[in-house]
Amino acid sequence: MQIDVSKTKIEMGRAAARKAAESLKLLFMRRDPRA
Amino acid sequence: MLSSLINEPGVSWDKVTVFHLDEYVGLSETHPASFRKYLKERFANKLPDLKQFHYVNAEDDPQVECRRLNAIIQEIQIDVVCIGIGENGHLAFNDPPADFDTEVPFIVVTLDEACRKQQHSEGWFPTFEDVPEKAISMSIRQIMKSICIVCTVPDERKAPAVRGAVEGGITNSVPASILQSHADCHLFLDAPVASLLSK
Repeated sequence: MQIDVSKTKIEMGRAAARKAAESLKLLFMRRDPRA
Repeated sequence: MLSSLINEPGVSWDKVTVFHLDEYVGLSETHPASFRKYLKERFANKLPDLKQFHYVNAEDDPQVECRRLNAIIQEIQIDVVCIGIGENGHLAFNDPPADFDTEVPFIVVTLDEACRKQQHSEGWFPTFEDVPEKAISMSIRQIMKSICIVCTVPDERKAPAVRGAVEGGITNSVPASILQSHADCHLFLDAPVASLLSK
């Protein structure tokens, strides 16, 4: 488990959203590299 | 988190199918505590290109709704789960002692007193008695099947639950502790909720 601690709730939300978006994009690319 | 996610650049939302995690049994979509209402207003309605959103509608027979959702999700590989941890250590509505064994994707669960008190104290229901006793929840095993888990937990009141989930052993009395065994779990905390962690 990787733990990321932010100073504020807003920063925490942004960091989590960034990770979720990165994961979605990476998994889409692995599934369809031409896309 | 959702308000930030919808503004993240480069996500092909037209390829994204979303499954709703949990919903109270017997609650209408117009109720302020309805998670369908929350997710539609703060997420789905802001993403017109979203491919599909499978909501949990437990207004009528919850077993029928579970069967409907289970038939849809059973052939699908979930890529990312976005989830939180409750004051009682729950994941979705899997309150302690959570069922770590069932392979059924969506199940009917009984909400414990701590969970119902949290929902009341957060202002979603006028009285404790108004908080439903049953819900439909994505099961622990279904959550753990996701390739990636993004877990966000703010607020000092959840600090004991986070400590239990991260630093205690894996036990169904702290359902979120199961996340320790996931290969790609990312836990995002604010400073107050991390205050009880030893490192």
